[in-house]
Amino acid sequence: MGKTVSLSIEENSVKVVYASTKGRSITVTDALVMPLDRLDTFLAEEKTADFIVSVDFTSYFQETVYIPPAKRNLVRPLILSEIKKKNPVQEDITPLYYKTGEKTIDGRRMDEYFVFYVFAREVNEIVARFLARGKRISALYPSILAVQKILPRSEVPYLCLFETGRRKNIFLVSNGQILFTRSAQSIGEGILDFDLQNVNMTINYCRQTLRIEPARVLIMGREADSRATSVETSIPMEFFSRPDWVEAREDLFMDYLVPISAISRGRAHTVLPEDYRRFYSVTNVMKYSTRVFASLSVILLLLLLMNGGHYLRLRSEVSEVRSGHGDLRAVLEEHGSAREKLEKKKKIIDFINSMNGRPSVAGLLLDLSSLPIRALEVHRMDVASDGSMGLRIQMEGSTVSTSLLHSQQELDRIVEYMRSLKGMSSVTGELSLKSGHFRISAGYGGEGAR
Amino acid sequence: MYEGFIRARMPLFMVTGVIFALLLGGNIALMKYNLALEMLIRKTRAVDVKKRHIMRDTEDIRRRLALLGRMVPRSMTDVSGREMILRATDALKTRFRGDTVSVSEMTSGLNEIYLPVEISFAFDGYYRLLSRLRSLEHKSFPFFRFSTLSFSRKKGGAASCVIRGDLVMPATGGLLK
Repeated sequence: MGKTVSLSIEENSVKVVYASTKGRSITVTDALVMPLDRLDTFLAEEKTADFIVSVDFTSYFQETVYIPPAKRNLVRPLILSEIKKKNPVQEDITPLYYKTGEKTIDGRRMDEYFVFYVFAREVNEIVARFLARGKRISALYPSILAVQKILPRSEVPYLCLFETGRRKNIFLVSNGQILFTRSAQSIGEGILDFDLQNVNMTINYCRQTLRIEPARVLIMGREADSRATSVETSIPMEFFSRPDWVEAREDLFMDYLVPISAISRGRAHTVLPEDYRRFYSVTNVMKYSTRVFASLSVILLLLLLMNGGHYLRLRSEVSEVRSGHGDLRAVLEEHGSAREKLEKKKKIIDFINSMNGRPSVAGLLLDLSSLPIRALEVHRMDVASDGSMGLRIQMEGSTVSTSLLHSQQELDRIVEYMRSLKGMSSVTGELSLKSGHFRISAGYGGEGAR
Repeated sequence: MYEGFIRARMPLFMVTGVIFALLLGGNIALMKYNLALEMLIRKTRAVDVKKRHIMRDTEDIRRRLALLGRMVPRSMTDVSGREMILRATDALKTRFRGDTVSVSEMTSGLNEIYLPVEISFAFDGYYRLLSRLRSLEHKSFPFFRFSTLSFSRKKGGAASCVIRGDLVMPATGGLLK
C-alpha cells in the first residue's frame, strides 16, 4: 500500500492530504490546512520526499488551437508557435495540451487541441521552493485540472462547477476531458444565485459558440450550500458525491476535494516543464539505483560472509592437507635411490628368479608318491627338464595281473589319477596287450608345480 | 536549481554504487580464490595418495633388497664363483657319501658358470630319493639346475637312480656389487 501526500496550494492557504492508495482506492488518513507562509517549514519538517501538488494559479490561460496533423514530437513546438502567434507574450510559458477533435478549416483537415498554460516563472518558483527543502514534485496540476481526475467519465458533455478559494470555476467536460474552463471571482462562499446565473451564461455560451449541448450541471459541493438560491439552471443540476473508492469523511472529502482528486488515478496532465521532467527522471534513476545498490550490497555482504567462512574452512583444510603432506622431494629421492639399488641388483635377481622359477622334481615325486599302483610294476621312470619351465615324465613297467581287463582298468585309473594332479598335463597311458608292458607319459610344470 | 538537488544526493548514490561494486568484485575474487583452493586441496590429496603409493613401493623395494641380501652369501664378494662351485661339489660328495658323485668340466658363460654333476646311487627307498632331490633343490649359491632323473629296476632285482644337473653360479663382473 503506497503512502501519498497531496498538497493543494490556494490563494493564502495550503491543504495537505495524507492518503494511502491501493489499486484505484484511496484512503485518506489525515488532512490539514495551513497558511501559505508555513509551507517552507512544513516541507522542511515533513519526511515524505515526493509530493503531488495542485496549484490554484492566479494567472492561467486556455486556448483552442488548430494545427495540421503532425508527428508527436512536432505537436508541442507547433502549439507553442500558435500560442505565440495569438498572444505575443515575451514570457516563457508551460503548456499542457491534449487533442479534443478534428476540424476542417479552409478545406484542410486540422487537429483541435485544448491548451492550458501558465507562466513558467510561476511553476519554477513552486518547484524551486520544494527543491530548496530537498523535496520533489511528482505531479503538478492546476487545481481545475486536478479535479478532472475524479470526475465521472461520460460521453454526454456536462458542466461542472467547483469552488477554489473565493473563485468559482466552471468547466465543460466531455469523455473525461475538459474542453473549456471559466473562472470568476465570487461574491461569497457556497452556491449563490450569482454563481447559478454564471452557469446559465456558460450554458448559453456552450450552445451558441461551442455548439455543444451540456446535459447537466455537476456541482462539486455540499447540497446544503445551495439552499439559499432562488435561480434555477436551464439544465438539470446534480451534486457530486464521494465515489466508493475514496474512503474519507464526507465533509473532509468536500473540503479537500482538490488534493484528494489529485491523488486519484484518473487521467490528467501536469504543467511541469520539460527540463524538470528530465531532472525527475534522472533523480528517479539515482533514487532507485541507490535502493537497488543498497539492497544488492546487503545480499552481497551476506554472500561475502558466506564465502569468507568457506574461505576460512578451505584455508584450514589446505594447511591440514599440507601438514600431512610432508616433504615430497625426500620421498621421491628415497624412492629413486631404492630403485637405483634395485636396478644394480637386477641381474642377480633375474638369475635367482630363473633358478627358483623351475618346477620342483621333489614336488613331482611327492605328488606321484600317492599313485595307487597295485596291479602294475614300474621298471623305469625318467624325469627330464624340457629346457624351459616344465618337466617331462615317462614311466614304463609291466602288469602284475593276469587279467588284461584288470590291467587296462588299473592303467586307466592311474592315468585318471595323474590327470587330477595339479600341474600335470598331457597324461597318456599305453598298454601293450601282447607283452603286458605299459607306458605313461605326462608333462609337469606351470602354476602350482613348485 | 536542479544541480544542487542532484549534487546533494550524488554522494549517497556514489557511495552505494562503490560499495556495491566493491562487494561484487570481492565476492567474485573470493569465489575464484575458493575454487582455486578447492582445486589445490583436490590435487594435493591426489599427490598424497601417489606419495603413499611411492612410499609403499620404496618399502617393497627395500624389503626385496633385504631379502636378496639374506639370500646371497657374504663370502661371494671375496670368493669366486668357480671356487664356490668346487666347495659345493665337495660338500655334495660329503653329503651324499656312498653315492657316486661325478663331475665334468666347468663351463663359463656370459651370465653363469656351471659344473655338470651326475649323482648315481642304488635305490634305497622312495623317500630317500625325495630327500636327495629336496636337498639339491634347496641349494643356493651355487644352485642345482636339474636336468634328468632316471630310475630303473632290473627284473626281480635291485633298482638304481641317476640324477643329472648343473651346479650354477652367476658370472661375476659387477653382478654382486
